[in-house]
This record gives sequence, structure tokens and C-alpha cells, in this order.
Amino acid sequence: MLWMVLLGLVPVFYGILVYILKPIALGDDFSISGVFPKLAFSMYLHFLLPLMTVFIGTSVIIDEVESATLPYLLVRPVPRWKTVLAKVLASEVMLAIILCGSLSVSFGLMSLDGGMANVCTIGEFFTAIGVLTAGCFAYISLFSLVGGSIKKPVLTGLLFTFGWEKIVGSLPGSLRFTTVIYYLNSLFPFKEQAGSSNLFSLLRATTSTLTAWKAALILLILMAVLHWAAASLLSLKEFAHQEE
Amino acid sequence: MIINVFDLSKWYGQIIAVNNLTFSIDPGVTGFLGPNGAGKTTLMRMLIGQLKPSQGTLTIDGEAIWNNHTLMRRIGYCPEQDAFWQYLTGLDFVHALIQMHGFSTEKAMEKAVMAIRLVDMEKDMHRRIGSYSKGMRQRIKLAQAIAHDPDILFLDEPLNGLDPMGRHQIMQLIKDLGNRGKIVVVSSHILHEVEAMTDNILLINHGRLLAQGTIYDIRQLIDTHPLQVTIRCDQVDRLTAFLLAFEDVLSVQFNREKNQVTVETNQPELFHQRLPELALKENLKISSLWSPDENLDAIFDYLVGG
Repeated sequence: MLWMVLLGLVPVFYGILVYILKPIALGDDFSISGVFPKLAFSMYLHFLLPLMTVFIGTSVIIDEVESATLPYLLVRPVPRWKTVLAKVLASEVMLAIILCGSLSVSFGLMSLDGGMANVCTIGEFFTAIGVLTAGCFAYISLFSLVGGSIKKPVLTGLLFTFGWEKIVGSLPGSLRFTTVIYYLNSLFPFKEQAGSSNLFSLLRATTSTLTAWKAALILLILMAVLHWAAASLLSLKEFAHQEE
Repeated sequence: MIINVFDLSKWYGQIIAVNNLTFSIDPGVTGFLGPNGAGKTTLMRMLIGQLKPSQGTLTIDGEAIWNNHTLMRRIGYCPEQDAFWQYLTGLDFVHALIQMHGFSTEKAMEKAVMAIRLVDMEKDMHRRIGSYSKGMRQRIKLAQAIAHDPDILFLDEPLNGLDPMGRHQIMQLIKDLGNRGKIVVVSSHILHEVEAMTDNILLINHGRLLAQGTIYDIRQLIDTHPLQVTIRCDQVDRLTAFLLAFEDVLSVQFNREKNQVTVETNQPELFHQRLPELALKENLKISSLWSPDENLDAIFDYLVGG
């Protein structure tokens, strides 16, 4: 839990560092409030969200299996799928609180330099909060399914988020529709700046996105399917701490 | 109320954990007796619906157990593993689990406290489980199994880590639960532990049911097993000569330096009856007597071999 909070607060520490460096190295003309959209896009949406959802999602059920505490939960008059779903949802809400809380602190911190209006509009801020929350729900349900189904789920999850999602989600063509990040990008209020040196960033900045309502609808359907799959498939699995 | 197991097997790839078991369990205390790795835990996990049988059927009052959450209302389970959410207090642990049975917060609290009182943990229930001793953890594990007053209890090695006083208390509690008409299944690898709680035993080894019956039946089976007995005596030569005349003694080995003799008998009960008589009659001072192979592994090896 502590490591999650600390990792979630990394952008806040970064914001504090920028404040410290401004008079020393960045100069008085440097606009701290202008950093927020880049921070929200690169740090929260493209780094912390995939990284933390991999670690949390893959451990939702496996942690209970490895610590041998799962039998306490399964020997109760509650359908297994409900127990699995409750654990998945609890993890999603917890991470959403950490990430959105951190984004809010970053927003407040950046607003100290020139006021809120210079950072972003309130609408954009809440849209970013909503997209991050949706990302938590989509990715954690996906990785909880991966965690309960295959061996080495963390490695698979990292390859998926920082490999498949990054590469395919940035490419033109129809394959990008198979990624979660494509829909999140389409909804996120802050876009990548064209002219970035990174190839993927460049591709993302020039790749067209879906209209907001279409992206939101597909994301909702995707989340529903992933939650259903996680709850129903994991409820049929035998989870036994192998000792005998 | 009855548990029926028919032709039950469980295998993991090439490994057979439980092999063609057929038996039934009636109300009262039943002991699953077998050495470590015998398949008791796998069997118990199938009985609580945690593992799916590879073959055969397993029912409680005619209802299949696997993935049947409604049956869980009637089941209490105390796992063998020393596993907890360490940051919870004993009370929070029992209370949270009991709430999953649909009791209100107040009712669940009442039931949790009652169960904790039964296992004599009231004094420490507000402490975090992480600070508990092994015996206390064992007791709190038992409390969560009995708190919702289930009809059927599965207790996997419930006496592990308990001190003699604790063992006595928990054995008494288990016997009381059995006397109240509940089905209580207790697994253990220690014969005298099971013997102290019940006379109804299932003997399991290598996933197979070796014997089922009363402790008397099992004892008889065990008593036909040639048993080694080592005796330390002040007149080891004389004792050896007398022992050689016993018709139940199969072999005798003696060690004059240590003043001890080891005999192998095929009627241990008779031997243990005649040895004191001999010592009294011939004025032999026996300072110690023990059986190097009076453990379950040796008995199971014998039964499997036989």
C-alpha cells in the first residue's frame, strides 16, 4: 500500500522539484502551470496508470492464493464470482483514489503559479480524472484475469502495456482498436505535443482519435466485458496453495 | 445429515493426490489420520468445495459441494496454513469473515465475541494477529470456523502449535461440538491426538484409504504390525535369555555396553503385558523402554506393504 502511494506521488515530487529549480535554473519566464498537461499525459496516463495497474491487477487474486488467505473467503455463502468481483473493484477504486488524488495535488500545486485558469479548465481537469479512473477499471480487470490465468503475469502485463499498447496504440490502421490506451487517448483532454522527439509520441500526436462519445461507449463495453470475464472465469478456477 | 464420498480421485498431471476414495461421514467427530503428504489436505479441500474432484462424487445431504456457495452456510473450515491478514486484530478478523454470512454488524460482532470466548482468546482479541503466538493464531483460526455455528466443521491439523493446556481445551471443544450432533472432521498425523478426540477414524496414506473404523479396529490392525521395542535393563544377558523364550518375539539384538536389548514382536499388546510380569518375577530392573518404530510412518509403511 505504501509503495503505491509513494509511486502515485512521484509527479507531485516532480512538481515540487520544478518549483525549487525555477529560480535557480529554469528562469522567471518559465511557466510552471504549463507543465501540468504534459505531466498528466506522460506521467499519469502513459506511465503510472499502466505500471501500477499491472502490479495491482495481477496480484488481486494471486496474493490471496500465495498468502493462503483465499480459503477464508471462499468458504462463505457468497458466490465465488462476487468475491472475485468485489476484490477486483476494491483494487480499482483504491488505485483510482491514489492516482486521482495525486493528479489533484499536482493540479493544485501547478495552480499556485499563475492561477487555475493557466493550468487547464475545470472541465479538462475532471475529464482527466474520469479517464484515469476508467483506465484503472479497464486495466485492473484485464490484469486480474491475466494474473489468475497464466504464469509470469507481471512480465506479460508489462510487455503488454509498454510493448503492445505503446506500439500498436500509436500506429495508424485498425489494429490500434485492439488497445485500451487508444480509447483513453481519445478521451483524454490533454494531447501529446506534435514535434516531440520520441517516435511513438510523434505517431500518437499525428494519429487521429475517435470522437469522445464513441470512445467512451467502447471503453464502457470493454470494461463490462473484462469484468464479466474476470469474475466468471476466475470463479471457475481452483485456487489452492500448493503445499502437500 | 451425512457426507458421502464415492470413488473420489484428484490428480495433478501425473501425480495422484487422492485415489479412489469411498466412504461416508456421519455426525460426530471423525479423524483423518495419515502422515504428512498423505492426501488429507487435498481431500479436505475437496470436501470444502475448494478443489474440484478429477473423478467421483462428493455430496453433503445429496448436494454436490464444488462451487456450491449455499452449502457454505453450513460449513466451517480451519485451514492448516498459518495464514492471516496480519494487520487485523483477532476480533476484526473473525468479525469480517462472519459478516460474509449475511449477519448484521451487531449480530456478527456478538457471534465473533462468543466464538473468541470459546477458544479462550477474549483477553487478546483487540491485539493485531501479527503479534500473536502460534498457539493464539491457531485458536483465532478455529474461532472463525465455529463463529457462525456451522453444522459441519473441517479442521485441518487444528492442534498444531498449541501447548498441552491449549491442546486439552481445544480437544474438549471439538468433542463437545461432536456431541452436539455436528459433523466434525479433524485431520492429524498424530495417532494419540486423534485417539483423544474420537474413536472413528479414516486412515489415509498416499491418497488411499487404508482403513476406516473405530480406533479399536485400527489398533488391532496396527497391533499385528511387528513392532520393535528397546529395553534398558541392569541384567541384559538374563533378560535376553528370557525374551528368546517368548513365542511372539521374532528377533533379539542386544548391546552389552549400553545394557540394552531390542526385540521385534508380532504381538505388541501381549508383549507389553508379559514384560512387567517377567521383570517382577525375575527381579529385573528395567530402567527404560521405548519403541523406535512406534510412529505412523512405520505403521503406514507396514499397512501399505501388507
